[in-house]
Amino acid sequence: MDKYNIQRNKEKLTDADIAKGKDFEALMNAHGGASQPFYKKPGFYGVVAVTGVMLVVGGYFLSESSSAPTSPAPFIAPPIAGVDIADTTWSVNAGSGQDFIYGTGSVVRIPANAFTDSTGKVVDGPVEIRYREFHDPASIFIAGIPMTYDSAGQQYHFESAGMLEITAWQNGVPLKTNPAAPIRVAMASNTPEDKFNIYYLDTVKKNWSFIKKDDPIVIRLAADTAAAKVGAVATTPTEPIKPMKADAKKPGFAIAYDPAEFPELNAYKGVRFEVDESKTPYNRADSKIQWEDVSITRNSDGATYTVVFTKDEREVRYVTYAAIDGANYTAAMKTFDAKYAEYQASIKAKENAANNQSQRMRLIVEEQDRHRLWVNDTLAARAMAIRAARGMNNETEGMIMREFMLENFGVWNSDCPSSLPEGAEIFATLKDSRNNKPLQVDKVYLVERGRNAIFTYYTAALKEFKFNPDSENMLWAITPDGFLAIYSADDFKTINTSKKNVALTMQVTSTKVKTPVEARSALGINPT
Amino acid sequence: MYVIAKDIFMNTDSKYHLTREQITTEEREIAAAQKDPRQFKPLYERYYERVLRFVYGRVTSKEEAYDITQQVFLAAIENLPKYKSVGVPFNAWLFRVASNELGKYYRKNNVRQSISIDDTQVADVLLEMGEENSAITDARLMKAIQQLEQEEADLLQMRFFDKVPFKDLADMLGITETAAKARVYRLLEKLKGIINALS
Repeated sequence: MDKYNIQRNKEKLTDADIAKGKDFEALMNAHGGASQPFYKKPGFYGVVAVTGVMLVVGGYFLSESSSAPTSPAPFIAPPIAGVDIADTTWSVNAGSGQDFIYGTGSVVRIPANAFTDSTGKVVDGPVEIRYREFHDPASIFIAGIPMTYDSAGQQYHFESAGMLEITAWQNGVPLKTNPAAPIRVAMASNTPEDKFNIYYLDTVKKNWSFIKKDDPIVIRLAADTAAAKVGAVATTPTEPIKPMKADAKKPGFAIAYDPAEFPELNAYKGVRFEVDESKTPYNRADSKIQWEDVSITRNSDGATYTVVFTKDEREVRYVTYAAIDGANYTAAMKTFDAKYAEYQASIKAKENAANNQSQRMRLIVEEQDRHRLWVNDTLAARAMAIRAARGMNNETEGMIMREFMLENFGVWNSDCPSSLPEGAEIFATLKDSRNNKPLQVDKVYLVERGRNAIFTYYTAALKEFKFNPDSENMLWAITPDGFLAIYSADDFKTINTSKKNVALTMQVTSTKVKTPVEARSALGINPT
Repeated sequence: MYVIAKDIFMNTDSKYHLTREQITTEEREIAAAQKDPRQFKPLYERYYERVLRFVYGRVTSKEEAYDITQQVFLAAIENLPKYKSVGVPFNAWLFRVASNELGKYYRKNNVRQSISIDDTQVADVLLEMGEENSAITDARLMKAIQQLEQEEADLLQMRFFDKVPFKDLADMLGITETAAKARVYRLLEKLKGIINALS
């Protein structure tokens, strides 16, 4: 039978149809009010019928949550006693900061003065950083990190593009982040998908907090970029700077510069760099020095330039504006008007070009490439070399990084809320392979190979246990006596989904696992 | 070789996509409705038509669509006190509720998901895939659609048959507009691949 019922040329909804169905008062009545008899409203029987369904489902959720353990267990609780994902530790001088590269190729940038104590005072001296990452269901499971979130009756299950935990310590005392000097992490990710958000695990509120949408960054060192594959990316025109008339009374410098370096000034003659004395007071003594070198850098505000004069060890800096001397100002304004019109036309043309389908795809790629972020080529090359050495350099298109700016120490995740797997539904009961008796566990974890997610089912919910029969599924649990119990992907293939009641005999390991390596081996998940 | 349909990246006007100010206003409306359900009315008025169209495209009759849409809003309003942003817009949450209610409806009534398509829209999709519009390709497209996952079928329905603008699509899916475009692009590539395999 076909999967979908395809209806061709179905009758369209008219405004009258829409108005007919819209009835806020009926909704209020159904919700609990009683100002109007709801049975008099059109659609009553349908609503009652479906409401009945909802109540049943509501009962299911209640029974599911009521079966959850209520003891105040730690929010992050590794399920296998004594087994956890180990931290990597680094030592950093808090006053100077440092970049670190983790084994997966992730880059951690710790700026100077990044730590405060519990009173908010910036700390100095050696600080120990503890850092670890989780990139597959086994590591998430071993670490006991909760991957579910319930909001307004909607149960979300997080699928992760990579997760990290970072803490900082001085003399055994935990430190806090300094908002004035945020730590950044560019986490190497195994997926280029852009469906993920950044979340922080708030262990006090026992909930995930949404931070922002995640925009993966592709670090490319090879020439074979995606942009190259689809052709040259259209260049962004440079917005011309409106000329400022030079003030002869203000200090300024006439400096010969490379026009290619400053295309926004290219069209103007008589440019002098006039000192912004509100930012850098001018020292007239500097004019008497025969400087050996001068450099000009356009600042990130786009309007000012930093001019640096050097001689031997001496260096002076001035923040300046590009100004046009009086003789050239009128011509400069004419040029500006013409250039600005050109610029606007080119922006418009670019927008129009964006309507071209292949150009649009290029723009998508361009947007994804836009952030080359703070990971410079040297760091990126080192990170990629580390991945290559570990056989992890699987991306021919480039290295995927996800950027975190840490507001707090703790667990940070690039996640996407996803639904429970569907496709088959059974009333599952669990059996212990050691004695063929019912297996008493609080919860089980469903894992689909190739999906970085763990779906937790409290055992009461197993009466409506759903899974995707097209996926390679595994079920994991920890027995009350601390052994790992596994229902393997091969076992799943034997399930007769046409039967309602199915007993799942979970294979219990003969010995307790004592290390993450043993756990991974038993779970059949190699590190990624 | 990137051969992309000429229209798929066209942005049509959105009447649902919200500016930052509107989002702030909507957050106030949600907060008010969390305290007093009657304050839910602006949200109901704003999204009723969109939810009804979404549901109608996936069932066979208007009556079913009315009932399920009412149920969607009932579930929404009953769950609203617990609503908290988890990184997806309210719009996205509401459509997740709608998807859940539809899923329950299909299961409980043992019916298949419907996909509603007009002949002109089929022609558009084929054109955008660079395929000739003929009875053969039309039939292949129908077969290809049968191979889509439910999320993909929903995306196809929303973008091509409900004509949802990308900005709205992004909001509904809780992803960026760029990601929505890329997802539609991949969907078309997949359909094209299946059609080619059927050729």
